[in-house]
Order: sequence, then structure tokens, then C-alpha cells
Amino acid sequence: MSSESSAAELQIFDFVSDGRSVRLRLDEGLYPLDAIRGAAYLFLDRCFVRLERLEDRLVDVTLKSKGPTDDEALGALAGEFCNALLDQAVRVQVAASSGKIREYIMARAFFSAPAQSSIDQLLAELDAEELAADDLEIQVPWEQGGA
Amino acid sequence: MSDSLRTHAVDLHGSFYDAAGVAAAVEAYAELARITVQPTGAGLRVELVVLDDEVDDLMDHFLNHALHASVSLQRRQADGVAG
Repeated sequence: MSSESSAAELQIFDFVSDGRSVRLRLDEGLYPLDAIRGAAYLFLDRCFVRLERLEDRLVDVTLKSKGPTDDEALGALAGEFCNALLDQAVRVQVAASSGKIREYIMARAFFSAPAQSSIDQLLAELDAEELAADDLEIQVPWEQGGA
Repeated sequence: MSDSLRTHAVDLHGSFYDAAGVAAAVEAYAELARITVQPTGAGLRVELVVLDDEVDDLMDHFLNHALHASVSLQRRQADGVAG
């Protein structure tokens, strides 16, 4: 997939087009790897996506149309990819920041002793009510049987 | 091998394309191309000889398949670790 262009240098969210594909250069310091992968994944059904690592933290994303296209459509594609990239970056950030809380809630739900004791307490209350009912010595129909 | 067969080569970085994802793509496209995969320092080098000249953009299709399989696998592994 070639992306020859006369553009001398790329900037973040600028893109170059060769008439069939657009190429964006992303700084992994701004957009986490998971966000780049996630956005690329979302575009696999719309276009050909290729990810290349240029340097330690620089990633080239090439989006190539699957059919005839023009510069306007390619520009729109690049813009939509940037929006998806931002969306994915936020998702990654939220997932990271709330990860500890999720783990805590899960751990408390499954392993917390107070939850078990509250269930035991409810069962004990039910038992106590049944015992109290027995104290009245009122015979209930289902206990009469055929006698 | 016919001279008309088109050959493409591409280097895939391991941070995007993992070996299992590329292997899945190789299996899927085995009937349309002769594909060889060799490890490099940072990932994999894929050489693809197109067997059917009527199929366009075969390398692009292959790369989409490899990326989809790689991301899916990475997500399943992440879910497995989380779960």
C-alpha cells in the first residue's frame, strides 16, 4: 500500500492522500496503543487499514479505500477515524481510571463476609418467625394430613 | 511459477500484529496466495505471491484479516486476565 505524497511533513491529525488512501501519523504518547488498535478495528469493514511503527512512539495509520473514491471522501474518512480515535482514547482512560473500583466492587460482591452474614441473619430471622408461629400451637391445614 | 504472478512483501510490527493473528490470515488466504512468514526483530515479515491475478488488493485484504484476528485475540486474552 503506497502513500506517495508531496507533503513534506506530517503533523498530528494532518493527513496526506494519494487519491486512494490517506495516512495519519500519531504520537503514542498522546493516543495509547489500545486506542489506536481499537479505532483501526472499527474501520476494518469500511476500508483497508495498515498500522506501521516508524519509531518508538510514532505510528503511521494508512486508510485505503476499498473502491473508487475522491479526496473529499478520503478527508471525511480521516476525520471520522480521528473522532473514533479520540473516543477510543477516552474509553481506555476511563477503563484505566475505574479499573480499581471495578475490581473492588467485584471482590466485595463475591468474597465479602458481611454479605454472607446478612444472608445468615435473614435466614435466622425466618427461622425465628417459624418458631414463634409454632409457639401459638395453631395447626395449619398442610400439617393436618389425613389424621 | 509464472512471471505474471504478483509478489508483495510487508513488515508487520509485533505491537499491532501478533503471530496467531497472522497465522489465522495465512490459513484464510492459503488458496489465493502462496504466503511465507518469517520472524524479524520487531515482528514478522510476510511475503505473499498472488495466485489469482483477478483478485485485487489481496495484500490489503490479508492485512485487514490479520489485524482483525490480532485485535480479537488480544481482547479475548485481556478479558481472560480480567475475568
